[in-house]
Amino acid sequence: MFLSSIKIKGYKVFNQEFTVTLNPGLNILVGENGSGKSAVIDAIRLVLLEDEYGRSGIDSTDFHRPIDQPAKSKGVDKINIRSEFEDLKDDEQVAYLPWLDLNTPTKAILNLSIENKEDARGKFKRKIWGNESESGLFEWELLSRIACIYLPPLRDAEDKLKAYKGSRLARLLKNLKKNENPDEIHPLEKKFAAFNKDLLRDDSIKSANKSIQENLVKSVGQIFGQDASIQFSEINFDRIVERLKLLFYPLPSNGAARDLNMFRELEENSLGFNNILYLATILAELEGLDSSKTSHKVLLIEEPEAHLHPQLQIRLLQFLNEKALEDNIQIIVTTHSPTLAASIDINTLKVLTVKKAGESPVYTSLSKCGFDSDTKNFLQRWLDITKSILLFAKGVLMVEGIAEALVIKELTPYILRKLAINNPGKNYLKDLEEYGISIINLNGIYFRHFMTLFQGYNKKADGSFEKTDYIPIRCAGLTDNDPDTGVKPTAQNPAAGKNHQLYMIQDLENNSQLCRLFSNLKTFEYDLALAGNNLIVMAEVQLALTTTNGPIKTQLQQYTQTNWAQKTPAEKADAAFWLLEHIDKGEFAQKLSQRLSESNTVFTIPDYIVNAVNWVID
Amino acid sequence: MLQNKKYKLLYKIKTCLNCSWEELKRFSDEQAEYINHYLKHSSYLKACPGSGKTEVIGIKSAYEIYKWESENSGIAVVTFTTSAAKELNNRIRKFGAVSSETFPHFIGTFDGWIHNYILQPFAHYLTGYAGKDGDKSIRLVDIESSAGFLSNYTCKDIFRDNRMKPIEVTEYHFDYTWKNITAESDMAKGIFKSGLSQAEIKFLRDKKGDFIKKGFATYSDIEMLCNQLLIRFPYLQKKLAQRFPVIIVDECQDLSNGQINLLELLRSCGTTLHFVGDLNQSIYEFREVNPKDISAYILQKRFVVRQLTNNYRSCQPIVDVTEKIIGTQEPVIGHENQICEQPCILWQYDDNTFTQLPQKFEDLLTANGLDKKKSVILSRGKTTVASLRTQKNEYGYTKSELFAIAFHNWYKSNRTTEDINNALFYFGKALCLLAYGGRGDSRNQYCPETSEHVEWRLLLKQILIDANAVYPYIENGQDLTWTKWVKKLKAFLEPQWELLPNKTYGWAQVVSKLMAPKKKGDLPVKEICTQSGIRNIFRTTTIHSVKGETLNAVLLISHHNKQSSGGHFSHWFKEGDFDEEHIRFAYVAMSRPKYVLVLATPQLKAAELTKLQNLGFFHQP
Repeated sequence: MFLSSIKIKGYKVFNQEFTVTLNPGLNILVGENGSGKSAVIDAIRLVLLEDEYGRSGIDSTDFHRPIDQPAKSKGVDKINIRSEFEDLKDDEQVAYLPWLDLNTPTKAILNLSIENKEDARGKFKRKIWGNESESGLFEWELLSRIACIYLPPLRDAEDKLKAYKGSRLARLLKNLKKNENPDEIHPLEKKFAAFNKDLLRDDSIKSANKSIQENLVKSVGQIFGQDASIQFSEINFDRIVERLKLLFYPLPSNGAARDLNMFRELEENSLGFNNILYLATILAELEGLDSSKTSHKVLLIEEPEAHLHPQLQIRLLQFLNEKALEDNIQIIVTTHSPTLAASIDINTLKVLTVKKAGESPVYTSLSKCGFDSDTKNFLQRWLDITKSILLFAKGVLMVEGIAEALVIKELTPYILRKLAINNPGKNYLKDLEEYGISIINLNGIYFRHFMTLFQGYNKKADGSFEKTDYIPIRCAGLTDNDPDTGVKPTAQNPAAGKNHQLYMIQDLENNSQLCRLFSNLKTFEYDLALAGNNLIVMAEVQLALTTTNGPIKTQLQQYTQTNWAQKTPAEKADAAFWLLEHIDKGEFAQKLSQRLSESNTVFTIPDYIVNAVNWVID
Repeated sequence: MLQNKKYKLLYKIKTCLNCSWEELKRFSDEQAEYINHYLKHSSYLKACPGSGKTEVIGIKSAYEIYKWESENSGIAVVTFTTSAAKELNNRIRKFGAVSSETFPHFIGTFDGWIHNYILQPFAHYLTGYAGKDGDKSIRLVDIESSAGFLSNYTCKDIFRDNRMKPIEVTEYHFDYTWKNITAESDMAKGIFKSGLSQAEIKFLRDKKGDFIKKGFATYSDIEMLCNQLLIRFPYLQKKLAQRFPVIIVDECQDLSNGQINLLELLRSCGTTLHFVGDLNQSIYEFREVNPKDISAYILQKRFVVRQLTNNYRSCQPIVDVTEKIIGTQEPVIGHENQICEQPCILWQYDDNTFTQLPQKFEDLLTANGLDKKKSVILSRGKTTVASLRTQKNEYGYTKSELFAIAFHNWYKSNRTTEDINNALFYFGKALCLLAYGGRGDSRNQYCPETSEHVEWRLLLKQILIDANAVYPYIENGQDLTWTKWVKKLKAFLEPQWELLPNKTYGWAQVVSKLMAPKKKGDLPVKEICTQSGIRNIFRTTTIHSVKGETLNAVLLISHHNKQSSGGHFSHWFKEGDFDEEHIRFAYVAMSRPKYVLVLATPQLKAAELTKLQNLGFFHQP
């Protein structure tokens, strides 16, 4: 079985019922800050009664309070958390019988409710029940068979690996002991008993012992006298293992035993490696659980990237993924790391999106966005670190190449200023960063694949559409019309495009709520050159890049002096065509964006770009 | 059983369970044989009274649980009363086989078992009940409940003699086929006896259906719902059988037909059943329990039958009398010492001497040096001994009487915990009936659904403290009559009504419902608290309530009238025909005592006296 969904209502940011769907194995929750990732993790901990970090005690602020209510207001009356487990095997169906959904017998239901009413001890009344009736017997054993371990963000791994009651090491060793014969004396205990005997033969111990015994008798006399003996204090297994701690050595074992003196205290280790040591201990603990008494294992990790450099992050995640498969552990991870998001099976990604402050976030499981295996493979390979930031964005502007990415970043302040002038009633921010919108360079015209995440439909082979889940943020794409290379289209005399993604413009308009594709006459630079007096600026930029004297330089100089407003569109088209024949796209874009960042530059933005920006910021 | 084999078994038990060799050695061959019974075959253990059956089940269950290997399925050990379930639980735990968590096994009442494993988790899949606040629990309604909301489900389509006869939905139940209807209240019994037309049955069925779809059920409906669930969802039937592959039923003589049917549904999916009990002690005919059906079932399904024929409770003369009246063929050996010369005694009473019976019984026990605490006075029905009883029971009080009895209990001069309990209970019940339409938790002073138990009790206490305005039931040195007192009570309650949170009915809606009890308007209120002047130190109760108990001495009193339904001694002693339930009642009563059994009858004719003497009673004039 595995935890397949969790429905949260009235808890923290969730006012309406919020459904989180999960898959077996690894799950990665991504999303901006405050989107509710940790609240999801905490809700799972609440319903599975995980309490190592003491959060099972609920606080009055955990009850959802609408943001239009004062901070000190009471909050909703009740928190409800409903969890569902799926794929129950035959024997699990028998054991979890009272929790089973009779309509889907491979599914079990577990509910928790907490009333917003404190009793005299300041505790909130909570109720837990299987299936859908609160009444009746609750078999706690069933819940305790679901192992759940939680690793908080920025955990103090060093502390957790120290020797203390309930330390991770102690738990690991106790779990391992359970698999052995319970009646036999554990070899560890035997060894300590022998050690204690030995201890008494030591001269200093002997004399100390004697002295204590004498004083004992002297102080209270023979009648009330007692006997005493010095011992090494820990003689039973549980106590012994609580005194154990972990040490480290910075190189892996090569098989031969390393001299014990070489191992160092954990405080000498780096934070990152300590974190990994900690995780390794926990995975060993989960691995060691008695399988007949454990029906499911859940490991919750918040921000595993903490203190780790990117390569280690990736390695760790891959390891977790392997572990999840191998030991049947359902691992649920929250992260802000594009590195992690980019390095894992895309089906494991779950995105939390805040649409509007104060409203429940929206949960999107990428596996439900309806992509075919072609798209899935594509995204898997192409969703690198720079592109995976789209998972954390409030809006996405997709472009075809580095030139567009560089230039449009500089163009957007122009666009926003112009929009502000044209729409005096509306409030516009300074640039896309302020909007939380990311420009994503697709390095090609792969809109079909990338937009699957946002478009909310799936076009089937027969041309019909079916609705799918989607990440509910605004998304716009800019793509070139790309007619034959020789043509010089103008607004009055456009040419048919050869870009085979153009069909999407209409598909998106008809079927998508938040996703649009915008196109131009020919190419990005060509269309820039056609707009307003842009040819002057662009010719100036190219002029600065031209080192040799000759007809090209002359032509460019002439362009910089032309008043393009008085020229016909065909003349402008000829000039734009010529200019683009003579530039190096990358270098040109670099210099153009630099020029655009200067405050005195006058530049006109083609409509399709304005429209795209206007779409994403809406 | 071979001695060798027996000791081998007992030794094995000693190594795994927490019990001494002394304890184990006491087990007879018959008992050891049963403990060794292989669970893969359904069985019936026929246990005579005092056979130590609970001890045997206790150790058998503990032993099987110890050997049990599956982590996901378990043994259900069920019985029929909470006290018996508690006793079973204690015995099994004593041997250390189960720790605090019983999982995966279940030890408890049959009702609790089906309630927790069938009814509550799954009933809504059958009824389609949408739930309240996300909770789809079935709410169980007491048959005695007079809650206001129930009137929605009252059938008003049945007429007799041109008069509408309203039948409440709690007064009858259907079996799982929805075809056979059974009356529960006297009122319904009367009407059903005259026959119901198909149309009338449909009216009743529709009302019951509405009631159940709204998430309610009476205790009698549970069996029907559970049977239906298992039939409708074969998956559930199969999985439940896997969850409980072994079911041990203690007191199997109390299995109703519906319950047998339910067990058979599981047996047909592989569960084995182990019945333990004594069909001769089956006294639940009113609950559709028929020992003939149980014995037919045992025979039909070829249960392995074993017997316990040693009575460790009673002395031989008592055993002989009891076995004679039930017509046992095989001899039963009584192992208890006979400490009185005459353990079976016959007394005759008349109208004058009846109330002296308790005193006479007390003297007899004193003379024989017997502990009076473990001795009781019994009769078949409540009415026979009503005049000997010193306390009244909860049912049958009107609302104003509930208030009066509550105040009386609260203000008693040397108030005991039980008095406080009673005061809160009756007062809570009265307020709940009036202000909340009876929708309250009867186990918690009728706490309404919207209140916390503790808050409710505190509120009751607060009002009770102020109730000295209407207590004692005297005014100007005169006893208050009901009419006058109810007037005072209303004046007292009106301002208190404001204190009741989330009430369903305001004072204006309630005030007319509070009146003097019928025909008692001019009688003094204080009569409700006066007790009879009889000295009776004994627990005085019905045969039903001492089922399964071991007592030192029993005084069994016959009703004075032969017309009584089963309460007259002549119903108890019949020759040739031992199938009547009356006889089983007498058998249960007379097999309780260890040392002394007294039968008190009205004045006997010579032939009757001889007959009883021949049975083994010693006549004491």
